[in-house]
Amino acid sequence: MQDGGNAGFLSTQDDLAGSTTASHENGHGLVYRNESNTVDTAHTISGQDEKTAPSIMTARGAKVNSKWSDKSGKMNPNTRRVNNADVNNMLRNVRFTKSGKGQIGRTTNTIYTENGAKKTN
Amino acid sequence: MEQRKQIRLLQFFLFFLIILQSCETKEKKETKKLEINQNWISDSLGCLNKRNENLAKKMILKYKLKRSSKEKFINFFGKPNDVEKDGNVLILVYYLQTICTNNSINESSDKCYARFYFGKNRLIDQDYICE
Repeated sequence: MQDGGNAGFLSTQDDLAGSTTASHENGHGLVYRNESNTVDTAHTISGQDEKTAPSIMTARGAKVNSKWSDKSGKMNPNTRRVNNADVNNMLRNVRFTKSGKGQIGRTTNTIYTENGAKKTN
Repeated sequence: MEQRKQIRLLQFFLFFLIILQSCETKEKKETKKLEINQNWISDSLGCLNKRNENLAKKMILKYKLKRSSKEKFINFFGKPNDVEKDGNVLILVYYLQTICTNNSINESSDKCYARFYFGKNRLIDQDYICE
């Protein structure tokens, strides 16, 4: 998904029906920014203890508590959940007007080809 | 006669000064080049979180890379992590925000990508996407 854009593509090789991949990608379009890190990142580190499920914006392949991981020790994408911090991180750079309107992300109207490349003409 | 000699000496001195100044300016430019794109190049796998969209856009402006050739682009951005082809368009792919273990990329992990599109060996487009 574009980082803060309204376009992207999904790979059918991902477990789209069973995992949280689609929601995670949507989060990128909503300009998710991790505010807990000193660097500006589009993913977060979470799910380090067994009480808190990994955030929806945790990267696949991240090391998490065994409760949220698969046999290889990497995060099981089905365990990701949207939490309050996720919503805050998506809204933190949005400026709202007095009437309560704000723009999240940008419209790029990009079309991607079946190979995942941006259509250039 | 003496005066002529002095003028010649002065001319020679000025010439030497100009050469020296030009060498210094060139050296300064080289140092600046290293400072600006050093973060990008040093994060060659994308796992140090030094690469990002803003830096890439700044580098394109600074080095005047809009519509530049692939060779000139690589000179400033370094070797791409991947190269793709879509019809006649060549795409140089640079990884951002990867997860690494022992200095090598965890291939199955989510990444972000900066992709630069070249048509007829000219930079024609770019996009920034995340998995």
